[in-house]
Amino acid sequence: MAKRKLIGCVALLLLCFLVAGCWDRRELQDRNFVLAVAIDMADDGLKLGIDPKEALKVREEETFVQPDGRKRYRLSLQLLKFSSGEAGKDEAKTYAISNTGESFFEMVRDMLGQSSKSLWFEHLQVIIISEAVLRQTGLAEIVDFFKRDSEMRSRIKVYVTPGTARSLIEYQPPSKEAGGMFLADLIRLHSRNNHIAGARTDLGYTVQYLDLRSNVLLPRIEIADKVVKLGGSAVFKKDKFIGYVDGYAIAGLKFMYGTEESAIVATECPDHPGHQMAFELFRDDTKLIPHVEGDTIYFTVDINMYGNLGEIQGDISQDDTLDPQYIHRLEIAFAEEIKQNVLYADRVFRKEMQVDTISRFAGKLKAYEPETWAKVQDQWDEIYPMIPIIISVNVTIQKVGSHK
Amino acid sequence: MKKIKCIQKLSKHLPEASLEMSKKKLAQLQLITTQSTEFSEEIGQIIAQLRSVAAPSSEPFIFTSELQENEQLLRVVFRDCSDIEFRIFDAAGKKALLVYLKGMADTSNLERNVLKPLMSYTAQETENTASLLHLLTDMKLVAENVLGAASVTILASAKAAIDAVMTGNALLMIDGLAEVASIAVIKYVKREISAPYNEYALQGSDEAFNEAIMDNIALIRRRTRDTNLKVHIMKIGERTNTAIAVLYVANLVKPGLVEEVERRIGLIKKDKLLDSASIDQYLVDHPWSPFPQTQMTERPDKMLAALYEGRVGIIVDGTPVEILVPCTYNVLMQAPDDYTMAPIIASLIRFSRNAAAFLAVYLPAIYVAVVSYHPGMLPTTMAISIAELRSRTPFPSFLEAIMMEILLELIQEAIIRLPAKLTGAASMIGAFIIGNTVVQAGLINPLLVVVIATTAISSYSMPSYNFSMALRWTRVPMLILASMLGLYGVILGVLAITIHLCSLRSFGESYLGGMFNVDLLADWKDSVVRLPAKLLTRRPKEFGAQDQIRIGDNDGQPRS
Repeated sequence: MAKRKLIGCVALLLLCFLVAGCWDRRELQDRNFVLAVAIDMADDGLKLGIDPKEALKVREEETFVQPDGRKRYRLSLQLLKFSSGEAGKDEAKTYAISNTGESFFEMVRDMLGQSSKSLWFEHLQVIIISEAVLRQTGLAEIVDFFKRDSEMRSRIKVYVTPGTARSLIEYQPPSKEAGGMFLADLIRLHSRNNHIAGARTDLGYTVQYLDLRSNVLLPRIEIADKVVKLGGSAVFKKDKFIGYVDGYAIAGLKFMYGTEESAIVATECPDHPGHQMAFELFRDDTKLIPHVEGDTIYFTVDINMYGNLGEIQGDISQDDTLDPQYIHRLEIAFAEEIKQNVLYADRVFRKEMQVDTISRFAGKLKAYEPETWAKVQDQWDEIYPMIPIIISVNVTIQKVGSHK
Repeated sequence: MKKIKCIQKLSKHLPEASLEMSKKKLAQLQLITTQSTEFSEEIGQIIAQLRSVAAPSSEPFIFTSELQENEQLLRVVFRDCSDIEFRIFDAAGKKALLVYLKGMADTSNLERNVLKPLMSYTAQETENTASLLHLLTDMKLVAENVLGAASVTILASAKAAIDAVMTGNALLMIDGLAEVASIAVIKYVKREISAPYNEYALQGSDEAFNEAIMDNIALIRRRTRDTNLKVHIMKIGERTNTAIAVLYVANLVKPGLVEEVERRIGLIKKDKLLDSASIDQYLVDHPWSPFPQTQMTERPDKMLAALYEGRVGIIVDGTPVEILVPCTYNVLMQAPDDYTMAPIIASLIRFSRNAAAFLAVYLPAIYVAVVSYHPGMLPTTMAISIAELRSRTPFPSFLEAIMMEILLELIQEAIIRLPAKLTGAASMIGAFIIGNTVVQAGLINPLLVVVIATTAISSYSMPSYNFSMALRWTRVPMLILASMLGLYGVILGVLAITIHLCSLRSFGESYLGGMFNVDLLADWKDSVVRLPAKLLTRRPKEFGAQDQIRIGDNDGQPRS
């Protein structure tokens, strides 16, 4: 009897394997790879594209019945097209489908009506949000769906575009890469391009900063006539979009925060006016430290940079890069340029936008002077633009790339 | 018409000649004949019983001093054995009898050393005859003075004598003596010592065991001059009476191990014993496990090395593949070549062999799990290229993998079963079907072919064929688990196999547990890696050798 019971239990367990086991089995080829997501306003925001009237108009077949909602957003997905395997065939790697509605989740599910396979977001590379959307809604509302869904990954890149986001995901790179991967890879070398803020701008960090009520920074991407360019940033106060900054301000910000790993600093040669020279940064030692003296709070930025002399335009025969005096003059010139850059960034962010980007200053004060922070944290937004900052830059040229 | 008339007439005149009557008579005659045969058989049995009355129950009969009687008794035992030769001759006036198996005894040896010295006295009537006559009164004297054979044993027991004849010895009986002499002249057809078939070593010895037990023991003995190497021969098998030798080094082997091995061998109840593999199934603790729990080897050098690590060797007559116990995962992963190569290279090969063992079991399962449940784990570019390959094949990945597995198994089986000249053709066809046509036909995607081929090659790289068979076996349940539960199933399978391997015991030693035992960490120097020979100063702790230090201690040499 006991044996029969045991056999029964084992059979029941085996049955569990069979009936419960395979519930989420879906073969790789039966999934539709979503590589990029574009979020636009449903009916406006038309700036680019061939036929502005038709481009982003709500069409019957691209929407669904919503008793309680307006057709507010347009969600476009870039899907991967499996290649037929015939080599050398010139065909697009991706195509885009879109839908309009209020809730992103609902739109995604309704889009299954346009797709033969399930939409699968685990390899999503990039989310592009158009400026028009951000001018109406907070960033937190937009990214919430991507934050909650289990298929999303933290390392998805998030970009802001002044034009229509859909035109970006319809873009086919000439290199025949899949569009979404091309767009995501644009930011990969942010550490060598100091015009792009890319260190902490992916979905994971964005969501984290939003949750911490910090100020978010997202890279700006633009498409114009088959040219895609990443540069500058969209600046957010909490989750509200307040404007763009250019690449020069981003470079200054990165110098101030010490987040650059390699950078090129170009300036005019002190000995040869009108001729450019460039410094290649290899290693830097940057300290942003708050100081409290009585009631005054001030910050010091100590920047020490080491690197190469990368380029001197002009008559080389007159330069003696092996002369330490000459090199020292160059170092001073570069240091001055970097200081100007940092001051520019400081002016743009702190004085004009009054945004403590990714709450770096607040974080430093909290870490170094917790008591002072406790006192000032409620008025931080008012205090922050008034704080004096003392900047000192020291550049050391280690290699001159010259030979005799 | 006339003939019919004639027959009618015969039955008319002679009623006994009718068909019915003659049939009846014939049946009666047949009955009588059968009965008489039965009678004679019974009488024969009764006679045999009467004769053996005096014999103890374990003996079929006892020898008498009457040569004719003895001959009769032996002829009854060897009846219908046409290959038994009874050679009756005259030794100095006395009748003598030589009994031997024709194919198993060396007749020229018998002629030279037995027949000639005994018969030469008969030919010439000299004074020697008298002394010989005196000698012939005692078998011991005959053995000591007349017989020129190298090994002569005096036997009184009939059972021992019959055994001796069946092993190929010659039996000498002399009229008037109740004792018999067994003369060792065993010589039968056997295979020469050849190179190992399955365990080839690039720089090792090329000698392998053959089928004769004494040759095999000699191969071991020849490699060492150590009196501590003990050989204990047992006879197992109710009918075949096969010789089994247990080899060990007396002052190294773990106490109790030899006794346990001999106890288990003694418990074997079997009519016939044809190969060592069938003994193996009686020795192991877990006969249902697919993993080999005894190590099989055909290399005498490997066996000797194992003996000097405190293990026990079992040599079975009639098989060229012999047994080593205890057996753990470690020893199955060691190949003879590891010790002839540079240690650093051998260590790398050990590592890749362990990795291959892992791949051979889990690779197809991981592939199926990742492709059908967790493609999000793949890098995007790889996911895209796999998806593109898979989009051209109709089957789910599990079915694809199972189909390839079946194909692989079929090819392997075909190659083993086919005559050697056809295996080339079979593997060509196999490679062609798998490598080309199946992919071209769009049935199976090329990546899976790569996966299955990697798996197959990995399992071929195991030093032990039995172990690679076990890996082959485990692969399929893993595949099923992966296809039903994804990576979760794979991890369940990994746990189940690891727990099973750790709980397996081979003569008390944990199969895999030794690898993870902190106390046995020192054994890693000859398991995970292979250190230079200079540094391998201690024997593996795992097998509990009495003397842990290899050199400069009481291993047969005087202490310095």
